[in-house]
Amino acid sequence: MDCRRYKSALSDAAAGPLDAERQRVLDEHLSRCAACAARIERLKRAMIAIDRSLAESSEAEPSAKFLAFVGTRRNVPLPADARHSPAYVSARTLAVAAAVLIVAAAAWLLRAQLAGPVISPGRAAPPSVAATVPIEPPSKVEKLAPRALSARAEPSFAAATSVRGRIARRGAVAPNRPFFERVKVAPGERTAVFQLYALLQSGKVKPESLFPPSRDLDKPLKIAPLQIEPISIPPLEINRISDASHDPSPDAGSTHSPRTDRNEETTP
Amino acid sequence: MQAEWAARPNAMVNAESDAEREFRELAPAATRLAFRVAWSVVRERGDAEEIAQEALLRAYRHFPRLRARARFEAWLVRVAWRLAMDHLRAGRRRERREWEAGRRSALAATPKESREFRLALVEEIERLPRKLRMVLILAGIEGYDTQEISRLAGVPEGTVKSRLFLARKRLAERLEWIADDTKAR
Repeated sequence: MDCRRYKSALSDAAAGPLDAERQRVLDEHLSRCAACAARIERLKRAMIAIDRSLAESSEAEPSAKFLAFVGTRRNVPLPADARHSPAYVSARTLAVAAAVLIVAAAAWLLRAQLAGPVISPGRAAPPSVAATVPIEPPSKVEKLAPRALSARAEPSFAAATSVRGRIARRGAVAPNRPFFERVKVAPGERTAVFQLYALLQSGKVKPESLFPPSRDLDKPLKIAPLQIEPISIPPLEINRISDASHDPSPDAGSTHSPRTDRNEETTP
Repeated sequence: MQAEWAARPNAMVNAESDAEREFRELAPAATRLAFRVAWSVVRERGDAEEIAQEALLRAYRHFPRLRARARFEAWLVRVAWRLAMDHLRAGRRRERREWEAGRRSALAATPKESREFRLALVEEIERLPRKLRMVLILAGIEGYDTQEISRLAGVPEGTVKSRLFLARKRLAERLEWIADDTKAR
């Protein structure tokens, strides 16, 4: 009796049902072979133990404390008391810092192009509307940099403040009154921006302190001339190898070249 | 201390990306999934929670770069399994604790479900080819049906069935000794 023929069928039968014909052949063998009958019993019992062990894991549940810890019960939106958590404060501080940097960078770029407009403290807009950044009147701007104004000054400001595509320019610029830029601020950054304006209005923070000191554009830059020392390159001296090795004191009257010598040497 | 993805304040939630929002939606189910996979290996709640947390953290960090979001769970299972196996093999002290926990659990009431068998089972699952192992974990540990596994693994249902059959067959062959009364341990 060749039991090896049924080895695979035994495992298959333990893992799942066989088709009718295969099952019939196996049953016929098992009825005659005690060893294979015992083996299939072992395989089936092992299979049950494996399935039972795996199934136990499917019933395992993490503790409520763990679930709360990883935040699965703290879905968006967060509870109101999160506003007072240290994480919120630190994020708000970060947002303020980011807003200051954004405004400072925008104003600095504008200053560099127009030679001097400064963000001046104005009336604080209510938090429900977009922030309005007042810029100095065009008359002064025109005096300082007429060329820049004639080329329409606002694109430079918009370009300078186009942070993540949230800037929207609205309204036309009148030539003789202050123009404003309406800046769309993300809801998360709105508080920080208005806090910055409040600081500017109260005088605790001076606008000048936000920007680096600008250079007087009328005064030409003094740049020291570049000192370059002349480099003396000795003339290149090339000694022909054949001249040095073949004939150290060549005859002045001789006309045949060393190349001709080489050709003569190689030519039989 | 809160988990990284749970500590975002309201101000930041508004600005979170689609990937982060998506992850937060998947997080509750993913937490349980990672925990069960880890528990099936280490069989100790504290360790399993620790592993699940680490797996989730990795998943969170890699989530924006994960191309096939539909297969996120399969990816998480792999990560959790790998971490759990590393954890299992790491320390002898932990093994002693598992041994004590195993004796206290109902598992110990069945002689065949001994600690030795459990560890052998885990090692044999680890020895399976990756594709077979994934299907076996999802079906055996998570209790997913073939349709769900087919979606998660990105293969036809027929393939899932044959892989599951093959995985169970191999395990039965390799762990046949557990049912051998003549080699009772």
